[in-house]
Amino acid sequence: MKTEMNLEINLELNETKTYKKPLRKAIYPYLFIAPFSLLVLVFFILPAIATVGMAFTDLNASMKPHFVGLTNFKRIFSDYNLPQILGNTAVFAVLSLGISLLFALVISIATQYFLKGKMLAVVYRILWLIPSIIPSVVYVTFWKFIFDPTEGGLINKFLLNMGIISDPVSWFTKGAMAIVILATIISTISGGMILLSSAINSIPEDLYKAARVDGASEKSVIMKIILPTLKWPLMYITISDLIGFVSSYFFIMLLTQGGPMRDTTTLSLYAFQQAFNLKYYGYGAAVSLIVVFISFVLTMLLIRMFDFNQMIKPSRIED
Amino acid sequence: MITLRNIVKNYDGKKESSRAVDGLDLVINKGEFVALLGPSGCGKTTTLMMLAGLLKPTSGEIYFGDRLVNHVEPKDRNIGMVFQSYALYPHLTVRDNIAFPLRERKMPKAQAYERAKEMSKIVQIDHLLDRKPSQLSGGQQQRVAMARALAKDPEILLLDEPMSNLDARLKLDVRDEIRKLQRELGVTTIIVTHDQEEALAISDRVAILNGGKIQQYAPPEELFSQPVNLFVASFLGNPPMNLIDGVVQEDKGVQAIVTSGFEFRIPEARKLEAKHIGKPVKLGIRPHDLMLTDGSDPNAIAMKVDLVEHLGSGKLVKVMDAEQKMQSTIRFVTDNEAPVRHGDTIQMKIREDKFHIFDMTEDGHNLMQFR
Repeated sequence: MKTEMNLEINLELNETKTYKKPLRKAIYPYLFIAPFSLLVLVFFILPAIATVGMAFTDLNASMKPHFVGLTNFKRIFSDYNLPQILGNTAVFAVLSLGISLLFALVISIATQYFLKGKMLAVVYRILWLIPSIIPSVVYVTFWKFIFDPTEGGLINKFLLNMGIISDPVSWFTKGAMAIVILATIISTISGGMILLSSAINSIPEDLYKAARVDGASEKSVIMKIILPTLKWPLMYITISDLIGFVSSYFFIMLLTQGGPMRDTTTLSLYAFQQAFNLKYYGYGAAVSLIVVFISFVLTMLLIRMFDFNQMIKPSRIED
Repeated sequence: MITLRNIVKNYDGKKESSRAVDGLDLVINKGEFVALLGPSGCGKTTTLMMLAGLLKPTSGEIYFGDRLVNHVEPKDRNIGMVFQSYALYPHLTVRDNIAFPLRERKMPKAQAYERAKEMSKIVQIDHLLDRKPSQLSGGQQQRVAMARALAKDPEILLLDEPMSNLDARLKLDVRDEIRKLQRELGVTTIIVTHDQEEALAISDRVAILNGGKIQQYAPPEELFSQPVNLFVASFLGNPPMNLIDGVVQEDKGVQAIVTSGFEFRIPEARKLEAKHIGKPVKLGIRPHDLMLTDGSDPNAIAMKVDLVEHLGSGKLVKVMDAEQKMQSTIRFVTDNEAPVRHGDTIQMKIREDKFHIFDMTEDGHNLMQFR
């Protein structure tokens, strides 16, 4: 009886006043977010702001920043290293992206369409995953061993034993960029491969059956059924890999330190070297802002190229 | 003409446990509309897939005319197929979907599009040719699938549950249209369905499958009036057939089935062979073949009304025998005007030419001889 009365009173209250969430309930979502937003603030937002700020100062090893306006940016565009570095960046990013996309695509179609459900396909894809789970330092050491310029290097040893060459070849002076790209793509392929494989796997079996009944060639199945399905995963991989390649310096630094000379120095490695090897923090920050700007422009271009608006637009028309 | 001869299909090679189709024989005449009907897992879709060439039979032969097609690829069988999911190519327009099988046969683009337009007119979707499948309603998608299947002018049309994704009212329309289209084009059509109403309504003959075997293959009315065994009898019909356990007895030349609730005299014209006397049987009566009568009728059975359900077009009445000795209740259908209420005691009788008696073997053969 008492509860009934309480209910009635509550109902009346609800009718007259708008319902207000108790404070405790209102505070819960923020309580859960708070620790992580603190981490984001300290490790992402503040450094980003600091970088932007630094880019307009002459901060260096003396750690006494002075505001210098756009001087750093002017210096970048008059930097005689810039054309070569931009060229290196473009070659590295475009080749790495193109080759790793192609490989990821070929491997996924081969294992998820032609060898669908076969044990061999699974084993093959697991093999490709290995490079991406090995710690980078170990991975790079492995490549250094393979292309070691002395007689002890794997390739040199092999070629010497076969009698193809008589003296060990210094691979890193001859094809540093090729080695850097090779090491990069082999560890990147697996990411795209996983995404593309699962996208192909989501194609209903009935479509393949219908295609068989309709007498479709393998080419038609790939061009008209599989590839269109991969449009959005391909967009995602292209954008994320491209940003990754434009802003990555880790492998290059470990493999070649940007050398020989500046042959493998990309823009982001250059920013790192300026900031942390030469302690020109202000200048390094300015260069890294350029990297961010390039990534941003490329992303926008790609989104437009892939017609991203079409994906978020509702597709079904009811009538 | 399509002939299936002793078809066996094991999904896992030689393993008996993976058997989906178990010695199936079927003959389909040219221009005929045949339904494969059965509960899920009865092997009906597997049979269709073998007809399409998407699956190969483990043993047995499939003939199209007198050509053995066991190892012929689907594309070389000249078949059109509609899938349950419609399987429209999601990234092609309706026009390209319909033209797809033609383009794959190297038909010039203009000609293929012309044919696509023609087909789309037949199934009344010619105003949707530039849309993508995702911009169509379920019924429209179904029509596109039909048009695509028919575009290459197939000899055989295979339909795999083509209407199971449509709502009840649309189903009726589409059903009629498919039937009309099939008559006009004269294409041999095989439909797989679990919906008995659909199968009975649309086809010339229905093959009822269970456990990978054909139970009965006959025109719809024959299936209904002369089921060969207990499975066919109980599978067909809604509400389902009443099945009452009893024993055949003979007294002074009059045969009767004695159940725990009542005694039913078998009319002279439908007497059983002497060897069945004294054996337990199941008496099968469809709910429509029981009717109300009054106490003066010598065949009247007194029953107590347990439940009355309104079906709209009539009433479904559940009755028990007065002493409640019977294990099962009996359902029958009356018209809306019949004065039947819960708790009443009523008199009912069985239509003398419309009952079935099944023996107690595993298959439950129908003992009534149809002459």
